[in-house]
Amino acid sequence: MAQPFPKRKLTDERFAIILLLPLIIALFALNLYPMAYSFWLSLTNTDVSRGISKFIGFINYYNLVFKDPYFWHSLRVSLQFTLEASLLAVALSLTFALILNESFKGRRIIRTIAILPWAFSTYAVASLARYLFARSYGLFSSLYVYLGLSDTPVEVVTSESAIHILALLFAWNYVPLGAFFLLAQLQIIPLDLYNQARIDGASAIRRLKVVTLPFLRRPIAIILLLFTVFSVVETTLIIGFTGGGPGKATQTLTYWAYAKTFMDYEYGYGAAISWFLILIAMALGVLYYYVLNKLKL
Amino acid sequence: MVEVRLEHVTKIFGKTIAVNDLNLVVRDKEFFVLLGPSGCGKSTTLNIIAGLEKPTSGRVYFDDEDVTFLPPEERNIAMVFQSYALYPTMTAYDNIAFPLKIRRLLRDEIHKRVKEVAEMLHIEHLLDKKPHQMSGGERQRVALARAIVRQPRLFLMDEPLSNIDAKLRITARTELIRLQRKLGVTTIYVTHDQTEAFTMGHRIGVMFNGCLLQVGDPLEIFERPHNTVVAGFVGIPPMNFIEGHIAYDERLGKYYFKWNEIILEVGGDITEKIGGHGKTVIAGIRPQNLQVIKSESYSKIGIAFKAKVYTVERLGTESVITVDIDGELLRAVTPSELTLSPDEDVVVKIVNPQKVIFFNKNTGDLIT
Repeated sequence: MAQPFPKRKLTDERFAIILLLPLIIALFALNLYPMAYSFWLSLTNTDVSRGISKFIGFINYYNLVFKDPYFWHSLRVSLQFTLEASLLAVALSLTFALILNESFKGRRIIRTIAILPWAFSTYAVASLARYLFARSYGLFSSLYVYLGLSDTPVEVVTSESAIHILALLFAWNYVPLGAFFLLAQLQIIPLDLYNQARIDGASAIRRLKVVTLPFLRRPIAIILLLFTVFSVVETTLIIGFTGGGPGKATQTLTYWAYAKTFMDYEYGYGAAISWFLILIAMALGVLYYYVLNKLKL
Repeated sequence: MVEVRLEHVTKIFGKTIAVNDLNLVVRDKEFFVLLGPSGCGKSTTLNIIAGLEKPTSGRVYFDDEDVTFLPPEERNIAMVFQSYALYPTMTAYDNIAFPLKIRRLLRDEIHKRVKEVAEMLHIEHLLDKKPHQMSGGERQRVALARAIVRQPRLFLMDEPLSNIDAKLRITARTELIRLQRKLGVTTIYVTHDQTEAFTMGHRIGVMFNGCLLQVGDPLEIFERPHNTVVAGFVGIPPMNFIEGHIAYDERLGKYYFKWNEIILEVGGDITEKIGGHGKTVIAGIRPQNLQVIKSESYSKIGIAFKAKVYTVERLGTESVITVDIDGELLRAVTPSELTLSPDEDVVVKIVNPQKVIFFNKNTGDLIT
């Protein structure tokens, strides 16, 4: 006898959709809609201070690349910052992970302290840095005087040093993330392999090379990708610490987009810079993907 | 190659005593098996011999050289781990060649020696493969080749056959024995598998809770276990223990072990050691020493007693019969042709009364 078809039954599929619905709505409202809207803005000459908003096609993009006197400078600063910050962050992450993986007294406490920078909001890091690096009352300036390197307070943040200091701060903020990511991987390396290598007569450096690093190749590639993307779009740190200065020394493309949008109120032009940045980030992502696949990591 | 001597070796991790005052001499060229359940300290002992762990106290000697604090890389030993511990990014060839490369041997010499061991272990076809492309048995061979290639003075093996399937394990076992006899390298082999221990070892050391309870050749361990712990651990199925008492028959002037219907003659010297008439003692009877007979076909010869079948486990050619005597369960091994069903009344006969051994009830030690 045929069973009557059950009505309004909560199937697995329906239940899954119900569970996903809040996320889908949030994603749409907070990500997709603003992205689409900002793309639309980039195709207009919207300027809130002048009260105009007209569709102009890709004129903004054309002006950015060919007319904007600061574009190439900002792009160069962006790339320099990204390169320096991401490589430094990866190198320090690896160092910290290797240290934290050793067993020593008080390891648990050190591990807890080591993750603290990750708990700082980027803006807090920037504010802290402002105090530490200030000319008249900053720690580093005072150190110069205290150590007798200078008689008067020094400007530590110069147009030469500013970008390096920013990279260092970025690394300080993100190293815990990278280090713990790598540490998790280090913990899964079988102890037998280290013991085997020791019995085979391998030195500590050799063991690092033949046992540890092969296990870390993939996670290192992943954090390098993450840090690259994070540093390409890093704005908070620059706004909070140098404000693009001294002069325009730390004016990255992101900062330029921010300045154009929220200081000059040229929403349309700012949106165009942002979309240009997205292209850069995507290009880097694709590049990494191909390189990683080529290397079979 | 080398004689390994452990003197009063103790290893303490935090509050647990992993190895407790262990004394052992492994003879030159010997295949010595450390047998014990997991967590008994056998792997820790092996790691101490390898130098991967430092003993909390005690000394380790290779011949007359004190190696207690010598790092593993300077001991000239080879080890095979249960996980095989092959370097995942290297091919089989590079894995085998690795210890030689570390020793900066010439390329031609390395090539020659790798080829040699590969031939010996029939793994020439695997040399270009990486560990993840090989089966468990193949990896085990590569790990073995890497151990052999450097011609060490001592092999340490930590359950090297536990991760391969049962059928292959039997072949691997024979191969390993053949190889060890051929190379004549002193070998210390750790396992929890008694079949491995009994088939491979010249001598066996049984470990329990960090203590080395008995060292001896396989037959000795099986027939004269030093105490109830060893007796209960060694042998499949485990030994039957029955607690009875000593009775003196004045008419015959002889001592007997009595429990229910079982009456076994006990030598006077054994009786003396436990204090004579009325004392409680534990008898150990191997299931192989008990024969189950159907009640109707029983003829009154030898020592036998009535029992009821409790369970029947068929293991192919043999069956393990558990019988119930007044609530006490005893196991017997019988040929599978004998068809028995639970609750059937049977007679159980002790095949060889001389092979029944007795243990001190309080200490659990063998009475000899």
